Amino acid sequence: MAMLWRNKIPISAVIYEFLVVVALCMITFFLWKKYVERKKKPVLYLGFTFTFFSVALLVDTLGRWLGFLLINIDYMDRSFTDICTLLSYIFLAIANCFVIAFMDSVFFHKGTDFILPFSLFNGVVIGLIIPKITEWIADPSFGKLRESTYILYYYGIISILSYGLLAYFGIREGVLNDDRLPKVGFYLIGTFGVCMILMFVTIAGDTILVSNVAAFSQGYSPLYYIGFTLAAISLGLGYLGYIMPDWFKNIVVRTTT
Amino acid sequence: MIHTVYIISRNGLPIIAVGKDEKDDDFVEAALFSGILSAIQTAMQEIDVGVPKFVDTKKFEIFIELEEEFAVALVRESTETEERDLMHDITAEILDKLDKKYDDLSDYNLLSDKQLQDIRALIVNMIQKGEKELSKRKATKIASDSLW
Repeated sequence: MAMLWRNKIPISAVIYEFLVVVALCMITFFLWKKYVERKKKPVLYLGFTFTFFSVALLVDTLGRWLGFLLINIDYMDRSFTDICTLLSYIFLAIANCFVIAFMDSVFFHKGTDFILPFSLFNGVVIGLIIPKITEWIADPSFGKLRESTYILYYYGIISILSYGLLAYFGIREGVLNDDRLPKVGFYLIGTFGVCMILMFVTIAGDTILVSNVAAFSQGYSPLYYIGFTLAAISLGLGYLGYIMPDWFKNIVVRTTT
Repeated sequence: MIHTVYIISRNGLPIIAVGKDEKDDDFVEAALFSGILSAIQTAMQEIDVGVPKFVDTKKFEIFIELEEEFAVALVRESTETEERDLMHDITAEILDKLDKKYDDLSDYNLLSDKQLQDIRALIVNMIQKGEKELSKRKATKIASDSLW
């Protein structure tokens, strides 16, 4: 048991997050490769979205690694997981702005009229987190993240709204299309949005369970793992929908003929 | 975006104008538009260059489909996109549907209120269909060019 948990962090969480980060970084790489090939705005926005996602998850995983590996400090005195998770939400909020820009470039074409309000809502997340980070610098003890759950809920609501739009318009375009390739592509983009929403809901559920149920007071309820599994599924869907490798394209086209 | 659809008799009188907004249905504007369009067509026929099926202004694109008794003109805000074929299809489909449904559509005064309501409903339906198709084609084109 001592091997599996250290400083209140299970090794399963450390490994699981790391694997998701690796997958995320690979998709980010493929997206930038696609941008270099095609030089299109939607890919640019997606590239930034996935880059900030990757940075967010990298920072979060780094916090988990530091908390797990550094044994000569007391996690109660210096909580790296708290500060890294808070920092990761800043990058996640920036990623949200770019996913909105992506949606606008494909579906809405409203420009700043559409992007700006959503960016401002996400800016509030950043504005709320920065004071918490300065608080942590003054006093790095455990608990800053728990004090900030309202920010995480707020972020969750904005993200659900953003990805809800992506899910709705992606699936709608899929339904409207008769050609096989765009139909499948849009369905995948829509389902990616649905999985992201489910991920935010389960992660929020995990926060609620950890705060209110004694059995999970140490953190990392089953919902945490379900959330990251959904993140992994989203990445798979994102890979097929956004990158659409040739082998997958061939399968889609072959099933039509 | 489709601005207004005009049904015009061949002698240049407006039969009905259906816009996305109520103000676009303004009869005076419809009468002026029908007159100008009819004058352009007559003049082009006179100089033997043929009847125009598409007129492009700085602000609008006008798609015209003709039948013996009446014409359908679809006015769309210029966006410099390549969906002109679709607009031609929509205009032709309106003409075809009206031609099949009504024996005589040459004069506004010959139509009952019920018939005018039916024509209006048909055109509104076609405008919505066109807009839907337009947005679908745009999103699909962008996504295909960028991602697939």
